[in-house]
Amino acid sequence: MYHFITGPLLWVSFAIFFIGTLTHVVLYVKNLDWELDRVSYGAHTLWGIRGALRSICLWMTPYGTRSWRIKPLYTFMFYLFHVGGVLVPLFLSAHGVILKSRWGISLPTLPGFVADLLTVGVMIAVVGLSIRRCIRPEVRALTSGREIGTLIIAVAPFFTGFMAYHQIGGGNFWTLAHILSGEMLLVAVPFTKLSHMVLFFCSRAQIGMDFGIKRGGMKSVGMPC
Amino acid sequence: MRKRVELTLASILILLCIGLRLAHTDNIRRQDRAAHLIALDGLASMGELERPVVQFPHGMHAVGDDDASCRTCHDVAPDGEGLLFVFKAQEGLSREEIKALYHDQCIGCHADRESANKPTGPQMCSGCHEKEPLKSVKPMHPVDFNTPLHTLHTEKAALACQTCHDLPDSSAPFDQDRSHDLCLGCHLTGQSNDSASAPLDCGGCHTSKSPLLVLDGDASQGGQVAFDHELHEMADVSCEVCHHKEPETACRECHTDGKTDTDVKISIQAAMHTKKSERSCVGCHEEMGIGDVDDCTSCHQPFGEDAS
Repeated sequence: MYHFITGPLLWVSFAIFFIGTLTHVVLYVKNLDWELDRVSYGAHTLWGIRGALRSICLWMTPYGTRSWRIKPLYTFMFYLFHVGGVLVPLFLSAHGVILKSRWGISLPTLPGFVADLLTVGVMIAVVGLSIRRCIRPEVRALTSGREIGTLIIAVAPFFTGFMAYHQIGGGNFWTLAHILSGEMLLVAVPFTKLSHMVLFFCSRAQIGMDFGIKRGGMKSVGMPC
Repeated sequence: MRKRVELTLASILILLCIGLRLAHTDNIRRQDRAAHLIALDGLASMGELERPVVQFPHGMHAVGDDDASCRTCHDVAPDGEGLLFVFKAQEGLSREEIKALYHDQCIGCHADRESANKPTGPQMCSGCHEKEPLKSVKPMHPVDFNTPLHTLHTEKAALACQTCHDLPDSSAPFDQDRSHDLCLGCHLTGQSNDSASAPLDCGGCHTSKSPLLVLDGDASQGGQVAFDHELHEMADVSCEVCHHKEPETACRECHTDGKTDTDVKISIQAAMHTKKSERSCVGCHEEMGIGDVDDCTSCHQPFGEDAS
């Protein structure tokens, strides 16, 4: 049975994840319209790429933009969630063992206690972000069951992984639950707001291009203010 | 409509989880059914361990019920004599390489066996790296290498003294590795001849009590007999041959020393030694052509020696 969920079910999940996210990116680019968006995609491309990369990099840097700096607590929780959320699945030692034995891919691995701390950080951050969603009116208005459900899907692999790692109440059960919740996350990405996994880069690139060219980015080369 | 689809998908997922949980135990041999466990903690000397030590159930792997042989896990020793009694050849490997070796070989074999629908072991981390101390972990019993066992080696197996006892100039300590090399190496080559008395499983040697049943008759009549009950069970002798009254009745319950007046007129000495009956030791050995029945010491310990 372990064969099934780490075999066919895993491949189906990967297929849905990759095809779904790729479709998102293709549709995003396909639907760009310089007239409607009022973004200069075709002209001053180098300035555009520079602005896009700048926007992506600064928004990925903790406290790198003004919006991150004016909400320091939220920013902290956000990064606690996302740093662990990205590093742990990719560089966990146990995942490395599977990657190596299955596909011969050898990745650097995190020490166990670091991965453990990051996982706990992810779970604490989810609690914090959920509380924020409930008490801040500007985000409460945007929150429905679907958002909460997405958050649960996102944190489930970390919670089940933590339980499996510490073997709290049946390590094998939690490992199976961990694999299944991870697959559920992969499947959910294209169909929920988790698609920001790729769309973040698309929209930041688009806005970055806009600001890099038109909205002040090219001031230095004689553009009118 | 969308909500209904989501609800249906969620229900299917929950059912799938429950179904998988129930089905998971199929074909998996649990470690806690194993009596003899070896702690695979070799990496501990190379730094702190990341996961709980694997308590390896050797007995469950060395059952010989299919194509898995000793060579599946043990490589031939570099000198070509016998096998290495560690898992594969680990000499010169780094910590990460040894870790990868165990993971590749153990999980790979377990996965292959699951594919082949054979009894198999865990493939998930916690299946082997169990955190909770196993209930079945027993401290390894020292080998009770007593006189009868010694006699088995010198007489039955006809081993020369130097096979086990080093020459005086040898200073190598007789530690666990060396005794495993020596004993198991010899048993391994002797297996094809006599599997019953050359054990390869842990419990065959590491047993808390002597496998031999001491038949201690009247000391003035002769030394004790270290009777290997198991050996007789394995031989082509049915229980009724010796226990001819009832299976649970021991010889001495009816056959006394001949001085006590009982209904049974055959003394214990006669019951053991008469050549007229196949039920007696001597009669049966003569019938089956086993040993020299006229040599008392082939069964009896010399006077004054204790077989227990």
